[in-house]
Amino acid sequence: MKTLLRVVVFAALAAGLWLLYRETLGVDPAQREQVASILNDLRQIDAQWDVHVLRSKTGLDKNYDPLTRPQVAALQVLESSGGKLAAVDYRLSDSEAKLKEALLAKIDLVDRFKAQNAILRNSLRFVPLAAEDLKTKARRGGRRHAGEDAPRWRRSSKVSTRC
Amino acid sequence: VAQFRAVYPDGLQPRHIQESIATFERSLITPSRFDRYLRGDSTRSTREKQGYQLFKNYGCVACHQGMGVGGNMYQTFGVLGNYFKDKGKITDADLGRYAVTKNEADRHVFKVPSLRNVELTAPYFHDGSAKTLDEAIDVMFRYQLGRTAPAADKALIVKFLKTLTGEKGMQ
Repeated sequence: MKTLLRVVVFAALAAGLWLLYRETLGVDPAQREQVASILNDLRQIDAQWDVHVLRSKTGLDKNYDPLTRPQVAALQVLESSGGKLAAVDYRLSDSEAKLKEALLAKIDLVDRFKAQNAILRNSLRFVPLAAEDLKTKARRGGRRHAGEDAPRWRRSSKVSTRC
Repeated sequence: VAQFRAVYPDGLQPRHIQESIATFERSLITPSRFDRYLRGDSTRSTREKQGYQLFKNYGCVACHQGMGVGGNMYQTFGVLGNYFKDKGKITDADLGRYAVTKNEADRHVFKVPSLRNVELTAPYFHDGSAKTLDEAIDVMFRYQLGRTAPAADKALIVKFLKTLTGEKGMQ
């Protein structure tokens, strides 16, 4: 009885291994390598893109050029990969379309971030100086003094720059 | 075609044409006196330097930044004032990115133009409504910065903008 059980278990394991082996034959290793390479490139570009978004948000990046480059690079990778994912497995054509959709959505979001961040940083930079001007004017009770009436943000050379 | 094949062995392919045109366009650079200044050459006049300082202090540089002094982002035309209401008759061109995306958030949103060679590219804005740099600066101050610029400051900013004009043969 034990021997019969061993034979059955062995046969089941062998059948399982054979099925797995058959599955691997259905995938071309070269194509799989190509797809993995495309996905790795996209992952790397995306990570760099995120880094530059954070650097822009915190003011470490002084302009938006670094945010534009990953966008172009990601689109180029996706364009050059056109159809390669679907060629490996037809079910991947859906995923490829979703990937492109997600990339375009991210481009749109980053563009909105740049537009809003520019206004925000400008406003934040201006608020303390404008408040100080108001305080000065209030203290002087409306009296005009030609030299000091010029707003501080015009006179200041300490205002941060982004060029 | 033979010359093309010498560079691209697989011949005229869309991606090769795209790459060769892009490479050619990248060679069309017009370095200006401003670039020389950024590299440490201090031949700019005091008034040009003051103009650059005002350009930064007023906040123009929030959008006109980077290598192209603009050209790398989109922005709403009329952040602090309704330019299009004041302008009156709205045309399709006034819709901006909305005309392409049909997204309401893109209404009156335009690409921020590069200011390189701006002295030579009048009239200004998508509708060519500003005939001079002076007029364009007035509109930008009123609708993008919510301020008015003293004539003296405008003149200095114009001085700075003229340093962005490319010079042929300059490296």
